[in-house]
Amino acid sequence: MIIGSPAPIGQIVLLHLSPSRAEALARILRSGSHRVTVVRPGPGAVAAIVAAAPDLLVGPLICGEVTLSELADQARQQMAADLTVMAILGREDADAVVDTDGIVREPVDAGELLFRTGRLLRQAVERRALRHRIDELLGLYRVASWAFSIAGGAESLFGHLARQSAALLKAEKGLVILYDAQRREMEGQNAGYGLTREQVARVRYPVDGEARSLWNFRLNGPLISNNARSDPRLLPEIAAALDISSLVVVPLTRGPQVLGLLVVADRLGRAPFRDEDLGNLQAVAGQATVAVENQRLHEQIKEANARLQEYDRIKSEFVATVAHDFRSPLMAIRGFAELALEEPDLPVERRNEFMRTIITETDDLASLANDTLLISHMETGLLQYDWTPVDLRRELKQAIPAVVSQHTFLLDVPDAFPIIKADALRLRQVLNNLVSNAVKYSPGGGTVTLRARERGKDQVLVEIIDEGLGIPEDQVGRLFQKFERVRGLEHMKISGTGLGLYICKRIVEGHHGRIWVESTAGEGSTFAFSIPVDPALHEPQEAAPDRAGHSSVS
Amino acid sequence: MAKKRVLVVDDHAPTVALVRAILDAEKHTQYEVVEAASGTECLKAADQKGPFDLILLDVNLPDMDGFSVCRALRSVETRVPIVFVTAQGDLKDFAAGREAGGDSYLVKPISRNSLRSIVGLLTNIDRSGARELSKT
Repeated sequence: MIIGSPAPIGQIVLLHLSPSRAEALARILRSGSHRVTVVRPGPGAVAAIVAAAPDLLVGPLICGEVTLSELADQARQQMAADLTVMAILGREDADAVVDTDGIVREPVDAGELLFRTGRLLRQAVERRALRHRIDELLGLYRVASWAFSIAGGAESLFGHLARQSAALLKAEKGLVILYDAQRREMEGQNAGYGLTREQVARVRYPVDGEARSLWNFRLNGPLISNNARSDPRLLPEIAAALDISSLVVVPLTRGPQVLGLLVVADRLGRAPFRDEDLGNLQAVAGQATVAVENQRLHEQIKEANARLQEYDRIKSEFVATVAHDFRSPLMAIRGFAELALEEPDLPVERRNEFMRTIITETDDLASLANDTLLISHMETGLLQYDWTPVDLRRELKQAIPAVVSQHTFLLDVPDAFPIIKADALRLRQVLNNLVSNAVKYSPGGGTVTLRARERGKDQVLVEIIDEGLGIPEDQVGRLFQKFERVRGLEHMKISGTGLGLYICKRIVEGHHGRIWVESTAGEGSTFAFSIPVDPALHEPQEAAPDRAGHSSVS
Repeated sequence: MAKKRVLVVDDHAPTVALVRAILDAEKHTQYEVVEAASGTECLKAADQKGPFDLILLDVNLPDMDGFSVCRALRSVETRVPIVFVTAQGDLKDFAAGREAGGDSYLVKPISRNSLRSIVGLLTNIDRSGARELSKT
């Protein structure tokens, strides 16, 4: 059937009470190449009309008990489709009011019948095309109205798109496939229409591979395939997973960027897909892209919001720290500066003492600011590790303070020690911190040992051992937490921010390692950490040794 | 004139050194400063090295909080002025300080002059108050 051709050929149902008259009229219509079914008015008439699925119904105004229009209405309802009606008016119907689409009068002239039939059929074809277009627009409207609503969440959105697209093309299956930019993969989105979750879950494939088809994403154009199982443009395993024989695929694009694919498969009744289906689906894809974008933005806003809240918490903590922990050093700096300024008669050694205190307190403030800032960066994920080859022996050697002190330093590293991969700057920070703690908390002097060992094939163990104050067993647990220090009278005389070990822990964990301490109060402490030789090999760590008489904590 | 005896309780050593230096520099009054770096040391000093004319008390001490220390001091000695000198400046801390029996609450950093005037004022009030109390 071709739209706009001068004489369309149609399926016609002819109702007539007299079989001979019906046969005569049918012959005329058949001469115009129309397919004609003669139906006798009566109880089975509606069912017969529906079965014939005609484009045009022709009959007398009164068909037994009912009018031609009533009969046509019943048939329309059962067919859920349009039906054009033409009445044949007898001589007795000269004054009848007629509500059909067209009429011919008895005696029927063959040429007139064919002419009027042809005109009505053309109208019917045009009306059907119009109806089809309205259905499409309604479908688009349904997709679009959803596109701006994100209330249902991602899953129901993709399910809706799949269902509406399939409905528009009168197909059994529909699916949205999206591109995951982080994993560089295409991924089927639950829930598809007419597909099980297991089937959808199998739609997952990388897009870096060979550009065989739209399925692997390189071809940005749309595609129709009516032999999906053997079509070389398709990934056979995906077609098999979805159990489909024919499909239409259009990309969801925003500018040059492909966000994903909209797939409709297997037409109801296994009819093939045509070019016009592609156009319809492409129209849906435009709306679907908006919906998908909306959905993504919504997710991003939600994520960003959660992240902002976390940042806000960290910022508040930072501000609180500044407001609180900066006050004592500030007071000392201010007070000693005032004294030095206001007391001209101070002995030089007193004045120098004040100045030295100002300098050390300023240093404390600076390191407090640095540590707090570093921790903020760590906790907000802004800290990036820079992996480079590191010579641990050299780093340990450099961690030994250059100034003369009452401590003896012992470097204990095997000769053939492997070069490891680590962030040199951060690792140095850990070593300096642990060594300066070892010195600070052994005010009586003694030996500080810096030891490194290989541990298994791909781990290194570093230990910093002192003979100082040690740590009471009940306090070992909280030492690596923020702002926690050993609470002991001797310990408290030594200044510290309570941030150093927390930073060490974060850095070691950033290297996929772990840190712990073994200590006996009054005898000294061993701070130890183990990290992989290469951060790429970050398997879970084995537990720390827990020797008798020692406390250990991770 | 007798020396005024001041007990300074703070685990931040430079703060204690500063208070000592400021009071040492006073020309008209002589102060004797006794130091304590924890709540325990404070209670021990109050018990064994008293009596004091004034106690300057930090809130965030390594072994206990300053409010508990203040309550413990007040349970045996009601007259000595106790001034909180602390980095904790929340309103609720002010209230807790008053409830614990403190006479004043100062938030670090405190200028030299503020410290001088509050120490001078409270050590004198205490003496006159002590005299009145001893009469009754």
